[in-house]
Amino acid sequence: MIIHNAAEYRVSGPEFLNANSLSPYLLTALVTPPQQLSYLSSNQHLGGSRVGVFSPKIALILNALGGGQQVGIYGGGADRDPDLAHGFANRIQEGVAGVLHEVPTVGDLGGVRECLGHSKGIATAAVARDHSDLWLPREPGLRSGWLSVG
Amino acid sequence: MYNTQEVADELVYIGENVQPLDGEPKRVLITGSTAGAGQLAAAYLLKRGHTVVAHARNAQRAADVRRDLPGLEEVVIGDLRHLDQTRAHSLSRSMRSESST
Repeated sequence: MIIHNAAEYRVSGPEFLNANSLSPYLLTALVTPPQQLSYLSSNQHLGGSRVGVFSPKIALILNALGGGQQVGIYGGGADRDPDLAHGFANRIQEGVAGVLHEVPTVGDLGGVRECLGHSKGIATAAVARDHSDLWLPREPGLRSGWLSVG
Repeated sequence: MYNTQEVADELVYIGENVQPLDGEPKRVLITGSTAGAGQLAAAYLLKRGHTVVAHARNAQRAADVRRDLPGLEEVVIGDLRHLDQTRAHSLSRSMRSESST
């Protein structure tokens, strides 16, 4: 399993693009696919001067899913929300490999943007995929967790 | 070292409260796992008994996360801001073998 989590924010445009979009894209494409892939995205990268542009990682996930558009919105900031209160451990879910566990589904890019605009939370996506299909999970399911480990 | 107090507190909580799992352990690579949500995920999965490969942008951060999370199987190093390093990273032994689990 690979969890794509690394991201930058206070960096130049090219480095921002490389670190947040192109690198996870390249790594996904170049390595032999694992049983499960997860992409995490946090709107802490959207804070301050970068408000208004949602994380490139979200777009990557949407493209990767080819219309599946499983993107979850989690109502807290993992790194800075003072209300976190030991929530992280409780938000990770471990389940059966090959089944998608997701937080509420967002239908399209506009929906993602809208959700981000109305939420101070972290946007996360966790995608588990079946061996036979690189991008589309065979049997998506919904769970309440924000990071699943199959 | 690179964390906010909230993350530091959560690491302590995970260390004291998360119990090992009963089921089959997985091998997991987490990019950007020297701080923040990545480090929390690594700490959590280690406590659950999974095999965890961390990733750091440089040798200093790699050494720091090895110290902070002693159970890590390995720490791979590469700066994802530079695509040549990303490509080299993808060819590393650890990334290839990752696919086996």
